[in-house]
Amino acid sequence: MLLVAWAAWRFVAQSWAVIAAHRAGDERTDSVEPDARKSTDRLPAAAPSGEHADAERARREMADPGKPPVVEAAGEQGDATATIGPLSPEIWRLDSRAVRILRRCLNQVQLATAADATIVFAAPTFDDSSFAFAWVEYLLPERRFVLRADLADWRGADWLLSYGSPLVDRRLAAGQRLFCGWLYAVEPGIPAAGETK
Amino acid sequence: MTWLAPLLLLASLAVLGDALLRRLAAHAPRSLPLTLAAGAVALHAVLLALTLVGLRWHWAMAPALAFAALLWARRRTGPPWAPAAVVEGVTRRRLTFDWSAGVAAGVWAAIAGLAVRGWLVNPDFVYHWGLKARKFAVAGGLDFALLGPPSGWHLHPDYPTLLPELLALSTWPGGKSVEGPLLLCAMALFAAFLLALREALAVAGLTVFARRYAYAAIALVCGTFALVAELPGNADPLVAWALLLAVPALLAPASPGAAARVAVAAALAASSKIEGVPLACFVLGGWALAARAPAEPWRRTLRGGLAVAWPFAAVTIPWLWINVAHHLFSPQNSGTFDFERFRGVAPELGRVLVGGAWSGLALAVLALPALLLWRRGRWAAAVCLAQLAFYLWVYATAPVDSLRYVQWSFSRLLFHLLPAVFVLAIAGAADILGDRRGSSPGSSIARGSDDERSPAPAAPG
Repeated sequence: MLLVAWAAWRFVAQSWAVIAAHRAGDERTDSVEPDARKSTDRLPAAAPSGEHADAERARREMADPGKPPVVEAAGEQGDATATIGPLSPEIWRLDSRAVRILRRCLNQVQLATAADATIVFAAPTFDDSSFAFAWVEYLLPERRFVLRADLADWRGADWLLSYGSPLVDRRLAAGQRLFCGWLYAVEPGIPAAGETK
Repeated sequence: MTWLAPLLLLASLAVLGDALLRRLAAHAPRSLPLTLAAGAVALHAVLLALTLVGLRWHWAMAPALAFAALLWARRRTGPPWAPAAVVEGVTRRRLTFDWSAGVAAGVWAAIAGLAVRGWLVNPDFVYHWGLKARKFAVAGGLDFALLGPPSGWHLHPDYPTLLPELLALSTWPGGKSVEGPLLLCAMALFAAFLLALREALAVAGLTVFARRYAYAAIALVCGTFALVAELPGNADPLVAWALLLAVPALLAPASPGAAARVAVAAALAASSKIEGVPLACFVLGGWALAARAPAEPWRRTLRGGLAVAWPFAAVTIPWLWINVAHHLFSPQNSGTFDFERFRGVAPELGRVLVGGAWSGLALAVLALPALLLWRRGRWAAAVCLAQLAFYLWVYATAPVDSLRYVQWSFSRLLFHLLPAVFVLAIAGAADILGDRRGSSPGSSIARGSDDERSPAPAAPG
């Protein structure tokens, strides 16, 4: 009887922790066992004080499609992750602010690209872009994305989506700003710098 | 409409599994977790076969298969369809909806509510299971352009694909793919796990009082772990479900329907996760040894084991073929045994056992060697122990950061075993206490004085 009562109390407390974490928004980390979290060092640093203001601005701007993309807040050559948030994609959740922005961004990509388009994905701001890549593939399965590292010469690619930061490359046409980065058409037949045609 | 797709799929699985069991295992008592597992395994085998011959999947495949199986088995009635645990002679009245079932339903509803809203979803749902499901749904089959590139390591391209297939078929055709219906489907499989837990407890030989408290407590403990580890959308509950399905058959290996139950459980384990493949082998081997008569020739024992292994083979051989043909096996899966590596992670293994995710209840696995001495549960305990040894062997061989590997996975891997270990520990304690008092719960029921007790396993034969 005591065991059932104790187990019920733990279950209710943990359920409440999940709800509270959701309410706390992106400050939520994850529900991994606290000790394990400490030892795996997966916790992000405390959110900067200006982040809530950025989040509120992003929400307002997303609610009004007529406004300029969120990334403009970060400046002309800025880093979109300054607005999206500093958290690594590895610890994003479906209800994360970064994911909400990414969904909106990928809607723009879907509208701009054909169904059979191949899109190279780059995330220069992350050391390991594979998790951001996984999120992009998950949120827009209707397009074929290829990680930049898997397609070094961009052969057969129609577009390049650069998450967070702009990219400069002679093979890229003028970029289109999105909510989460830049979308470039890949110019066919132009060799990369240092290559001969 | 999007919510209809998972419901249609689940109904199809239940009908398909029920028809197949009626046709192929006419004496096997059926129950919802067993028929759902049989249906899922059959659908998985068909989808793998279609992949091998290069045909696309279609969302209507599950209902069509269910309808065809229904026609095929229309003249076979089989034993009465029962809510749970008829396998061992428990009457319908005994497993009607009681307060412990209400607790389990509450646990399920709370987790499902959080999951379907997207508030409680395992990261692996995005990086692995859900991503595969959405890409498979768009591609109409296994998407090798997704699985092939080396950057897709987080996808575990070599894993069996039952869960992504079921999630993919939970996507309404032409509709925008959203998480809710997919997670509802995943949570329905968690419900099957909870029902299988109830069945396993029903054959454990406990008093009704003890059975209800044990069910409520284990459901709450497992539910809490599902919250802590964000299990919704992950395939770990499927492996735990498979092992729980096998427990009644391992406790009473010669009872009617035990062979069919083991066959379905092994195939389900092997279809769910890569670590389910050795579990399936242990279940099949354990059952063959448990069912072996004292003077039976070993060749006959082997034949008996192989005879129930065909569903396992039907899902495992195509999976192996696809992995080899498309070079999907990850090099991280194999390495040389390094005892130093194991010694390095041993403290972390202990810390997980006593740690917060399981509130120390994971220490129950330490009872497994003692359970080997308990005659009725010996083979079920041996299967759990073998699987635990396999996990420890993986930690000592995998060429990755072993410490992080343990921190990230061990508590989840324990989820495969702990529900069954809890059942076995409680059943073993009940048997031993019953024997000391001079009347085991099982024997009293066998005599017919079963008002307060669940029955013991049916007599062999």
